[in-house]
Amino acid sequence: MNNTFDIKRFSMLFKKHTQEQGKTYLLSAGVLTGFMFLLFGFFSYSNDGHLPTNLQIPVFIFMSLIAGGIFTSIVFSELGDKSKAIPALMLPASHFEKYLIGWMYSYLIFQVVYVGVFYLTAGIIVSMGHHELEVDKVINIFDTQGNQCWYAFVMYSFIHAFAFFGAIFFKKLHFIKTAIAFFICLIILIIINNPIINAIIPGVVKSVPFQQLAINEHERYISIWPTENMVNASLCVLALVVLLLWTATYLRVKEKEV
Amino acid sequence: MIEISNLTFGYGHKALFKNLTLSLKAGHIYGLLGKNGAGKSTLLKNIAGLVFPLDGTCKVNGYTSKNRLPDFLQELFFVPEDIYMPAVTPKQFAASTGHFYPKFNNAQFSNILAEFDVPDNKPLTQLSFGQQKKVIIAFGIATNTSLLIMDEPTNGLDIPSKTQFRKIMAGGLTEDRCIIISTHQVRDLDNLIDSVLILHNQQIVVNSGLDDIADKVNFSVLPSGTIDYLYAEETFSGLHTITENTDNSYSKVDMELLFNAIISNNEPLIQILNR
Repeated sequence: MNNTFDIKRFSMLFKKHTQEQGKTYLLSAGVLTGFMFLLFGFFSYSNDGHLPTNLQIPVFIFMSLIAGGIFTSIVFSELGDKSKAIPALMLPASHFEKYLIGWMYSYLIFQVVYVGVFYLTAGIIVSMGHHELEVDKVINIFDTQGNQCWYAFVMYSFIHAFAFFGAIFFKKLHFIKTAIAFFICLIILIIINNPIINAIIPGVVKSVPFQQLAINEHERYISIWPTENMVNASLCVLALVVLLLWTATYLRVKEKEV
Repeated sequence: MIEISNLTFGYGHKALFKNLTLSLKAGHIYGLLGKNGAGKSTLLKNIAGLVFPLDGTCKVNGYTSKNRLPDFLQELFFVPEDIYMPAVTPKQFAASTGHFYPKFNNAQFSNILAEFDVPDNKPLTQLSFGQQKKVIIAFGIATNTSLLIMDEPTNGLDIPSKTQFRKIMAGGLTEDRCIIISTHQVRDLDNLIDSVLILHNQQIVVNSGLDDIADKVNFSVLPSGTIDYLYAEETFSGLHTITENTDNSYSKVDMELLFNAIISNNEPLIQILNR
């Protein structure tokens, strides 16, 4: 058998993981469904039974990031607990296969389940509206032109990569520590962004990382937004960061000691 | 089977082993003894690849432990001191985990469970700690891996279970299998191990078969006041001594006495044993 990846061994590992963690995952999906019902129900109630698309979009984006971030940050929690880490590391499967199980559940399977839960909950709440004149619709999250939902998948990749690394980097309180680390990185980025931009372009009065900058020229306030090419370049940088974090996570799994 | 060469390991500034060299062979049950904090568990973890040496190498069946390759892992089973069992029955556990080990024998697993009197259809999380330990011991034996490592396996077992454990372990040894049992309860290893390893002062100071030890030294109870011995402990039944075996007589190795003698840095005894 190949010592890096073997499909038979990987399927055995997937089956074992699903059998042992399946109940926990189902319960988590149940909690997510309940929470989404509550959230959509609340919005619908406060909008006279309407669930407009401009409410569905932010809920879809933010809930995917929060729920996915929490789920991903605990996907390697067993490796932080000595009594669970020993059987996990001693199981005859490669590091890559063990890593891939965590990646599949937290990245692929989570997103499929999340989209399913979103359509189920939004669909039920919308159908309960009973409006005679105007019928709400559940947004098409795969529509790249009409709404910004595709942004959730891009952002999810980044949040996932960060939380995935936090899951293996920290031994305990994975989500809290990862969230703190994330906010520290964000604050540092915001703080250093302005001086760096000012060093390149003097006179910048406002700069939002990867988004917008404003300059004062002859007492005129000018906002500059990135071109499509620049946006694409930012997405490439983001993809690179995601790949680096995923690779770093794999190396951490490989070098895990108990 | 196991080749450790110049192993150096420590946590922080505390060195546990310095240039430790050790060779263990198949067909033996080794008892690993050492004081609390001597590094028994850490040595076992180095062998299993759960921690990485600072220097030196540790190889099992030719594989470097720290790489934890599947081919290496499928020939090694580690029974840790603190165990975690998933919320499945022993039967389901064997079905989901047994096939990772090419020589796993399901019938053997069921038989050992029956001998231990542990139900195979009750979720592992509902079993007592002792019963969980029995399940993992039974599973470890039934994997038939060439190396079976047990860290304090008798912790949590009641007295009748310890007797059963000794019996079952003896049945689990084959000529191509090496079993290492670490314990601080020396008496639990009586009538079980055939070789003893004593870890002391960052080194393996004794690595000998019990027969070999019995060939070199005698364990006997002598009248109080006797002075010609290598090591002695006064008890109410007399003076328990270790003396050099000069007349090829045979005596049963008193492991507790031997262990106490070694950790009191008894150089003459260590020299005789390592001749």
